[in-house]
Amino acid sequence: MSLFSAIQGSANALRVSQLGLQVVGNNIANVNTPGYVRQELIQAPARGYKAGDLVIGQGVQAVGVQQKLDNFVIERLRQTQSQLSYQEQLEGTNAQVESLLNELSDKDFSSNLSRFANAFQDVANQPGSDSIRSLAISRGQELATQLRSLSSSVDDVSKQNQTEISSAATDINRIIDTVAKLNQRIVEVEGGALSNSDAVGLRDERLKALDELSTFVDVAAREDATGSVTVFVGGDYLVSNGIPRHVKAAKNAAGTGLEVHLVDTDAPLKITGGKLKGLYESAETATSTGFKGKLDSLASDVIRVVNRLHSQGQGQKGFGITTGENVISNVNAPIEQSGPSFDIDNGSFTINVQDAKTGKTKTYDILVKQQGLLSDTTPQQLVTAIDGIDGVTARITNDGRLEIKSDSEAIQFSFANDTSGTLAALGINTFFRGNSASTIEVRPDIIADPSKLAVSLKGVGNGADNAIKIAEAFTKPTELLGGRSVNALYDQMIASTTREISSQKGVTDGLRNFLQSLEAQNLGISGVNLDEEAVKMLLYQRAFQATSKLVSVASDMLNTLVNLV
Amino acid sequence: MLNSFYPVVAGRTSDALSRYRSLYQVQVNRLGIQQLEDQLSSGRRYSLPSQDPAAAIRVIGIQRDLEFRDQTLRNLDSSQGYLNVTESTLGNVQDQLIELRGLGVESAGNVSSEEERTGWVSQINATIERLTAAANTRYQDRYLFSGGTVNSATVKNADNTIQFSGNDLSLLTIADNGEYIAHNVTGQKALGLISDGVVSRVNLAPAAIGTTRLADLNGGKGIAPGAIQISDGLERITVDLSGAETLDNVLERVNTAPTISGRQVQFSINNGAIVAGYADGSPGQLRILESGTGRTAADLGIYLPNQTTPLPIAGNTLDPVLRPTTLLSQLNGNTGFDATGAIRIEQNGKSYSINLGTAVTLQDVTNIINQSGASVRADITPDGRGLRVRSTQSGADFSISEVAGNLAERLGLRTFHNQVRLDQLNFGQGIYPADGPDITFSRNDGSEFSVDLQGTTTVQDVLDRINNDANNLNPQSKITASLNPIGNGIVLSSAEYVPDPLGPPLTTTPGPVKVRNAGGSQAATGLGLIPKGSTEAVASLSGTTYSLTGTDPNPQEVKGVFNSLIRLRDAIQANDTTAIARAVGLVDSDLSRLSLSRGELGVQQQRIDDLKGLQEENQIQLKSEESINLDADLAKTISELTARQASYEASLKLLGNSSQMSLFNYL
Repeated sequence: MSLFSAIQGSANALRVSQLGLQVVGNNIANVNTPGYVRQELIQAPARGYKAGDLVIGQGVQAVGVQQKLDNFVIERLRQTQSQLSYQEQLEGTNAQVESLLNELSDKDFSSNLSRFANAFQDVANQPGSDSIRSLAISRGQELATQLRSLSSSVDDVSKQNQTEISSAATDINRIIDTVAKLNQRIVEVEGGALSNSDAVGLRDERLKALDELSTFVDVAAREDATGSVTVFVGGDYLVSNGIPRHVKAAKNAAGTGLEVHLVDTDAPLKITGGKLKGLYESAETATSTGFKGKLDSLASDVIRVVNRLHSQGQGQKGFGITTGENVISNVNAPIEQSGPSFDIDNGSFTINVQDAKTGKTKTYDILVKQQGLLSDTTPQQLVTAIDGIDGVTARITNDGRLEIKSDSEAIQFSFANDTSGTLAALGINTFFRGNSASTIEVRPDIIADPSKLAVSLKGVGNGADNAIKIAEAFTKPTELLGGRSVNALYDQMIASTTREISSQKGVTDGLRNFLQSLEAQNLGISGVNLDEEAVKMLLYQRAFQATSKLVSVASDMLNTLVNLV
Repeated sequence: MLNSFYPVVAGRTSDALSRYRSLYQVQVNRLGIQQLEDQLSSGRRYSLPSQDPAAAIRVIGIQRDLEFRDQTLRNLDSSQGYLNVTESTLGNVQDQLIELRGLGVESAGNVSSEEERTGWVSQINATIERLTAAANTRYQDRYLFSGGTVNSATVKNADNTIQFSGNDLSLLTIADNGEYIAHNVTGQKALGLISDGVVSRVNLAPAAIGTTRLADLNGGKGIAPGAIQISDGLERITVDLSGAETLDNVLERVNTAPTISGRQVQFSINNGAIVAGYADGSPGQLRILESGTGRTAADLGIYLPNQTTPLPIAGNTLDPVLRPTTLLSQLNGNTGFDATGAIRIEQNGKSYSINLGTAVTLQDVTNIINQSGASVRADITPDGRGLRVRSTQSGADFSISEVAGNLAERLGLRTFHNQVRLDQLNFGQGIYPADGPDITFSRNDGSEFSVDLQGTTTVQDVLDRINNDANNLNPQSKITASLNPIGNGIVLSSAEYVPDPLGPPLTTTPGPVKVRNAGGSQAATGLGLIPKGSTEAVASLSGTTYSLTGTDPNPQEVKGVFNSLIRLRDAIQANDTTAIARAVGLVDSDLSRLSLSRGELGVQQQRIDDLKGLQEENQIQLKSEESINLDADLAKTISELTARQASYEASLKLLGNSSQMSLFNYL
C-alpha cells in the first residue's frame, strides 16, 4: 500500500460519509412528509487489490440508497384500506338512511304512523265532526308525504352514489396513469441495479399512488426485477409496466345503475373491496333488495290494509259515481290476473243502493269467484253483475278503470263486507292510491270531500266503527297482514335496518382499529426517527473526521518523505 | 367504537408514529368529550338507534306505546265529556219526570175541574217540549241520543206524538288494547224511543242455495274452514274448502276434484242440503270424512264416515240465517213464501195497507213496510231468525193486522193472534176476569148464556171456551167467536133468528146478539168486545148474519218518556183515571229506566276514571322504561366527562413534554 493509495481510499470514505450525511439530511428534511419512507445509505468495503501476497482494502464505497419498508405490511395495509373504504362508504350511506328515518325524535316515521292511527281514533270519538275527519285525512297526507320524501331521499342517495361511481372511474384512471408513468421512470432510473430502490422519491410517489388506488378498489401490486409494478384488480391488471388500462363508468347488467368497466373489453371490474364496492352496495339502497325495497314493502302494506278496510266502509254520504284507481289490463282474465298487483281472494262484497226519493235501501251481494278455475270471475263479469243492479250502471272506462255510476241523482250507493279484496284491488272506495313509498298519496276526491272518509260500517253516516278498525290495524295483528300489525311490520323493518347499520358500524370500527395497528407497524419501520438520524449524523461526522485525519497523517508522511529529498 | 389508544409496535418507533399517535390520542379524547357533552346537552345516552340497537328498538316500541296511551287518555277524556253532558241531561229529564209524576198522581186521586185539567195538560205539553229539546241535546258536534246518526236530530214532534229518527248504535272508543268503551247512551236505552219489536213468530225456514254464503250457515255460525276427505273405501282424495265463500264454491271444488277410482264425485244442493253422489249417477261406496281434527264436513252436514243408505245421500239441512238478500223463494224450505196480499199497520189512528206482492227479497219486504208511511222500522232480527217491526212513534198505539187473507199471520207479525197471552192484552194489564162467569152473551133468540174464563191463558183459549160452551152448541143460535180477518180484534157472529114452527114457543124475545160483562168481570171489555165506558155491545145484522167486531185489545206502544207523558196528557184530557193510573205507572217505569241508565253512566264514568288512572300509571311506567333505555345517567356522564378531561389534559401535557425531548438538544 502506498500513501497515495491511503489518501485515495480516504477520499472514498469521505465521499461515503458525505453521502451518508446527505441521506440523513434527506430523512430529517422529510420527517413530517406524509407517506415518506425513510432511506438508508448502503455502504460496503471497496474491493481490495493484491500487493504481492497481500490483498489491500481500498476503504469503503456507497452501494446504494435503500427505502426501509416491509412490503408485506404495505400489502396488508392496502387490503385493509380497501376494506375500510368499502365499509366507510356503506357507513356514510347508512348514516344518511338513519338520519332520514329520524327515529327517537318527535318527527320520526313511527310517530307519523301513530298520529295517523290516532287521528282515526279521534274520528271515532267525534264521528260527526268534519274538521276531525279532515284532520285524519291530513294525517294520511303527512304519512304519504313522509313516505314519498323518504323514498325520494333514498333515490337521491343512490343518485349521489352514481355520480361518485363516475367520479371514481376518473380518479382510478388518473392514478393508474400516474403509476404507469412512475413505473417507466423508476425503471429508467434504477435500471434493475443495486438495491432496487434507488429511485427513492419516485417510489415514494408510486407508493402514495397505490395507497390512494387501494381506497377505490382492492388492488394487488407485484414488483418485478426492473422495479416496475403490475397492479391487479380481481384478476385483471390495471397497470403493467408503463401501460395503464383505463376504466369507464357503464350501466350494470341489471340496468339499475352504474359500475366500472374496463374500457378495452367493456367487462366489469371484479372488485371485492374499496370505496367502489361500497358505492355499488350503497346504490342498492334504492333498489328492491335494499332499504327502498323495505320502505316500499311497508308502504304497500299500509296501503293494502288501510284500503282494504276503508273500501268496506261508508262515508257520510253515498256515491253518485266512483271510478277505480287501478287499471284493469285484461277484462276477460280472472280479476286476480287482470292487473299487476291485484290481491284478490275468493269472496264477495255488498253494494247498498239507497234511493232518496223512495227512502229504500237495497242490498246486493256481488260474488267474486277466484278459485283458480277457468270459471273465475273476470272484470267483465263483475261489471255485468254490478250493471245488473237496479239504479246503478257499471262499465270499464277507456283507460281501463271500473266506473260505477248511479242512474239518477236521487240514487246513491255504498259498499260493505268485502271478503274478496276486490274493491281495494280495483281502487274503489279506497283511501290511498299508489302501491309503493314513491307513489303513495291520499285520494284527491277524499281530500276534496272529507265526507267520503269511510268511517262507518253500519251504513252511510252511521257511527264510526270502521275508524276504530283502521286505527287498530296499526296496533293489532290483522289477517290482512299475515297476522301482524302495521306497527309490527315497521318495527321489523327498523330493527333489521338498525341492526344491519350497527353491525356494519362494528365491522368498520374493527377495520379502523386494525388499520391503526398496521399503520403503527408501517410507521415503526418506515418512519423517520430524528434521534436515530442524529446518531447516524454523529457517526458520519466522526467517520469523516477520522478519515480527514488519516488524509492529514498520510499527507504529513508524504511531506516527510518529500523533505528527505 | 374506536380504541382509545393507538397501538404501540415493538422493535422500532419513529417520529411520525409518535406524532400520529399523539394526534390520534387527542382526537379520541376530543371525540369522547364531545360524545359526553352531547349526552349532557340532550340528556340521552345515544342519538341514533344504531348506537344501541337493542335499547333503541325497545325505546321505539315504548314511545309508540306512550303515543297510544296519550291517545287513549284523550279518548277517555272525550268520552267523559260526552257522558258528563249525557248524565246531566238525563238528570234534568228525571227531575222533570218526577215533577210530572206528582202531577199524575194528583190528577188521578182527585176530582178535577176542566180548568185544572187544561192547566195540567199545558204543563205536560211544556215538559214534552223541554224533553224534546233535551232528547235533541247537541254536544260539540253531535246529537247525544241519536245513536250512530250523530248529525240527525234524535226526535221530532209530529201529529201530537214524538217520532224517533236515531238508532240504537253504540259509539265506541278505544280505552286500551282490545278494550272499548261506549261514549254514548242511546235514546232508546235512556229515554225509550222505539217499541219492542214485533218479531216473526213463525219459522220462515230459509233454505240454503248455491249463492248462500258459508258464513250464514248453521244459524250464522258458519263453517269451520278446512278440508274434507272423500273416499270410496279404496282411494281417498282431500278437497280443500278453506277460502270458499259460497256453497257454489264448495260444489265447484268438489265437482272438479280428482276422481276416486276413476269416478267423479258430485255434490249438489237439494232442499237446502248438500247431496253427495257420483257424477255418473251409479251406486257405489262414498265416505266423507274430516281432514285431521277439522269439522268442516260436519258443519256442511255431510260428515259420512259410514255409508248406510244408497247414493245419492242428502246431508243435514244447513240452516242459513235470514239476510236482506234472502229470496222469498228460499223460505219455507225452498218452497217459497207467497207474499201476495197485504198487511195492515194501524198507528196513531191511521191505517196503512201494505201490499207486499211485489217483494222478491226480505229486504223488499222491509223496504215496503218502512216506506208505508207508518213510523216503523222493519228489519231482520239481529240473530237473523225472523223479521222485526218496531214503532218509532211515542204516544200512539201501533198494531199489525190482516187486510184480507192471512199474510200478517204467515209472516208471524200479527200483533193480535190466537196465541197472545191474555195477561199481555191491554198493554200488559190483562182482561180483568172475575170469579164466576165473565161474559154474558145474548143469543139471536134472546136467550142468554155466560162463559167463565177461569183457566184460560191465551186468546185461542177464550175463543174455544166461547165456541165450545155447552150452552152454545145449538146451530140455530150459536155464537161463533173468531179473530177478525180484517184488522185485529175478536169477531162474534151468529145467524139471524129463524123461528122453528115445530119447536116450542119462545119465552124470550128474539133480537140481535149482544154481549156484556158478567158480574164484576171486565173481561168482555178487556177482550175489546165492549167499548170502554159501555156496558154492552150489540151486534149488527148484515144480510142474515149478526156480527159484532171487537176492538184490538193488544195494541203495541213505545215504552218511554214521551209515550208516558203523552199518555198521561191524553188521559188527563179524557179525565180517564184508569188511563192516568197506567200513565203514572209508565212514568214510574221511565224513572226506573232513567235511574238505571244514570247508574250505568255512573259506573261507566267510574270505569273511565279507573282506566285513566291505569293509563296514567302505565305512562309513568313506560316513561321510566324509556328513561332507562334512552336517558343518560347524568351522574355517570359527568364523572366520565371529568375523567375524560383529566385524561385529555394528561395527554396534552405528555405530548408537550415528549415532543421537547431530542438528541439534537445535546449536540
